[in-house]
Amino acid sequence: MFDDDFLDGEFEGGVFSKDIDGGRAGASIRMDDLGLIALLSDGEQFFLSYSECNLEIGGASGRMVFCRNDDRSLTIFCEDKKFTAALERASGGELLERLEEINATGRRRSLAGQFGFWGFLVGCALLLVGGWYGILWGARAAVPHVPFTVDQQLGEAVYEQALDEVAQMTGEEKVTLIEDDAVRLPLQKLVDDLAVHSRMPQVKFQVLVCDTEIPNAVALPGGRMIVFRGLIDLVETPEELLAVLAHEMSHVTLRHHLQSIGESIGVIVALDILVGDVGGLVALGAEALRAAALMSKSREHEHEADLEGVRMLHKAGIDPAHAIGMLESLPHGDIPDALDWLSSHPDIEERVAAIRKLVDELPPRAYSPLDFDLEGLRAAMRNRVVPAEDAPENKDGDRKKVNAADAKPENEKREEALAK
Amino acid sequence: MSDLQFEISQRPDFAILTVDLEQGQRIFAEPSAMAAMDPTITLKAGFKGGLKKTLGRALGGESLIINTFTADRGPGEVVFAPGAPGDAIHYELDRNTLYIQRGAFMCHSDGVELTGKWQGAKGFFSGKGLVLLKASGEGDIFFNSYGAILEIDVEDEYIVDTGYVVAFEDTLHYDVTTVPGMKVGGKLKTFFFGGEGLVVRFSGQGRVWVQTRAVNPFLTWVFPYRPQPSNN
Repeated sequence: MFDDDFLDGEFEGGVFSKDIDGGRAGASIRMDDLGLIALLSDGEQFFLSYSECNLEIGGASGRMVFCRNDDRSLTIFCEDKKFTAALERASGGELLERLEEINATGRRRSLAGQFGFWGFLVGCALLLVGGWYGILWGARAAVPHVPFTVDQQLGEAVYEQALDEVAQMTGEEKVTLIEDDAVRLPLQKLVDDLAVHSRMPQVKFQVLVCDTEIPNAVALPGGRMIVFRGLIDLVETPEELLAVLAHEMSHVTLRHHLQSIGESIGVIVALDILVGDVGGLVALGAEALRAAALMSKSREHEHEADLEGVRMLHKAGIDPAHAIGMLESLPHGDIPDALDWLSSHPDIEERVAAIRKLVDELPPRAYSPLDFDLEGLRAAMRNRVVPAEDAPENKDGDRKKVNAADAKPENEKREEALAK
Repeated sequence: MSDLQFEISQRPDFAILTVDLEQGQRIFAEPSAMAAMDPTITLKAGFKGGLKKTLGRALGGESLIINTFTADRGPGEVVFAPGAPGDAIHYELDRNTLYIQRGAFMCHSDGVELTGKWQGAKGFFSGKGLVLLKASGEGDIFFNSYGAILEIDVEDEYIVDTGYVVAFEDTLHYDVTTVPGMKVGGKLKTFFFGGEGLVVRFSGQGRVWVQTRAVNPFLTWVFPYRPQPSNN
C-alpha cells in the first residue's frame, strides 16, 4: 500500500475530514520525514505535516491519539500503543513536548482507570461485608422486640418437619418417640430445674426423647427439645448430659432460631435490592428459612450457646468444666456423618478454649454433684414399655406390649456396642 | 464500501430491516430477530467468536447464541424485526469500533466482531449494565432504538441521559456523571437510589445515536394505568 520509504511501519487508524463522505473513514497511517499520511481504502490520501499537527488524547478507551490541523478540518487518529513512540521518532523531536504531555495524560488516565477498577472492587467488597454485618446486627436488634409467642408458633410449625429430619438421619421412615414416663420425666425435671437459671426463666421447656442411636439433642424454637437415646448412652456422667442440654436450652433462650430467620430474610431483601428480580432465589430463601428455623448452627450462635450454657450450669451450682469434658471426650477428626451434633460443630478446640476462659473468669463457688440417676434412666430405656404398634408380631400375627429389650434386640446390641 | 444490499422500511415507529443476500453471503443476527426469509436461506445457530467473546456479548445483554443466515441455495432476502418499537440504524464499520447499548444489537455482516467491553463503575452507576457491546472490524452492523433516533455529530462536548444513549463511535471519550449543576443532596440521592439524573458526557469528535424515548420513563408513565386486582 505504501512505499518502503516510510518510517516505523503502518498503523490502523482513521481520518476525520469534510472531504470524506460521512466525514470519517478508516485509514492506514504512515509517517515520513515531514508528516503523517493517511491512506483510505478507496485510495484517497490525506497529509498532515508535523509543524501544523496539534495532538490530543481521548476516545472511548482514553488512549486514542488525535493529530489535528489548526482549523480542525483534518484529523488523523490512531489507537495503536506504538503510535506515539513512532510519531516521536518520525517527527525528529518536533512534537516531543506535546507527546510527553499526552503520554503523561495517558498514564494518568490509565492509573485512574486502574484505581477506579480496584476502588470499585474494594467498594463492592466493603459494601457486601458491611451489608452482611448490617443484616446480622439488624436481625439481632430486631429479635428482642418480637414476642416469644412467635418462637413458640414457629416451633409448632416446624415440629413435624424436625421429626422427619431426625428420622432421615438414620434412614428411618418415621422417628420413634419414647413416651414412657420413666424415661421422659427424669429428663423433664432435669431441664426444668436448670431452666430457672436461664436468662428467660419463664420459658416452659418440653423434653421429648427419641429412640435414635445418634448422640444428639435438638432444640426447637419456643422450648421443645428432642433428646436422642444415643446421647444418653454416650455421656459418662449426668453433668455431661446436663451440659449438652444447657447448650441446647441456650439456643432457645438466646432466640437463635429467630435471629437466623431474620438474617435469611435480610439476605433475601438485600439480594432483591441489589439484583432486582430474585424469583428463583426466593424459593431458595424459603428453604433457607426452613433450615434456619430447624437448626441454628452458625459458628457465633454455637459459641454464644456454649457460654450461656456454662453460665447456667454455674448458677445452678454444677461444675461447668463438665461442658469441656463432654466436648473433649468426643471423638475428633474423622467424625461419622451420623454424629450430627458434632459434625455441625466443627471448631471444638476453639470452643473449648472459649469455655475454659469463661470458666476461669467466673466467680469461684462450691459445686455439688448432680443428683441424677443416669444408670436408672438407661435401665428405664432398656425396659420401657413399647406401644403395641411398635412391637413385633407374634406367630399368630398379633401384637402385644413388650419391653424394649424384646422389641428391638438389634438396637440393644448397638447400644451395648456404643457403651463399650 | 459495503456490498450488502439492504432496506430499512416502516421507519421510524416500527422499522424493519430487509437484507438481500447474494449467493453464499452471510449475515449474523440475534436469535428471534428474524421475521421472514426466502427458502433459499439456511439458518445455523451457534456460538461465535470463542468463549471470551461469547461471554462478553452475554454480559452486554445479548444472547449467547448467534444465528447465521446464509444464502446457500441461491440469493434471497431475510427480514429482521427489532424487539422494541422504534427505528433501526445501519452503520458501516471501517476498521473502527462502535459501542452499542445493551439489547440494541440486531445483526451484522461478515468482517464484524461483536463482543463486550467492561465499563466497571461507569456501567454500575449508569444502571445500564457493567458491559457495553463492542462492534469492531470492517463491515455492516444494524442496531435498533426504542422510539425514533437522532444522529448527533459531536464536535467538542455533548451530554445525553444514560437512558437515551443507543450507540457511539470509539473516537468519543465518555464519562458517566450527574447533571451539571446538581446539588450535593441530589447527587447523593442519584448515587444511592440509582439512575435518575445520570448522564453520559461525551467529549472529542464522533457520532452519538440518541433515541427519542427511553424505557424507564415510559414505564413510569404507564404505571398508574395498570390494571388493579379486584377483591370482588
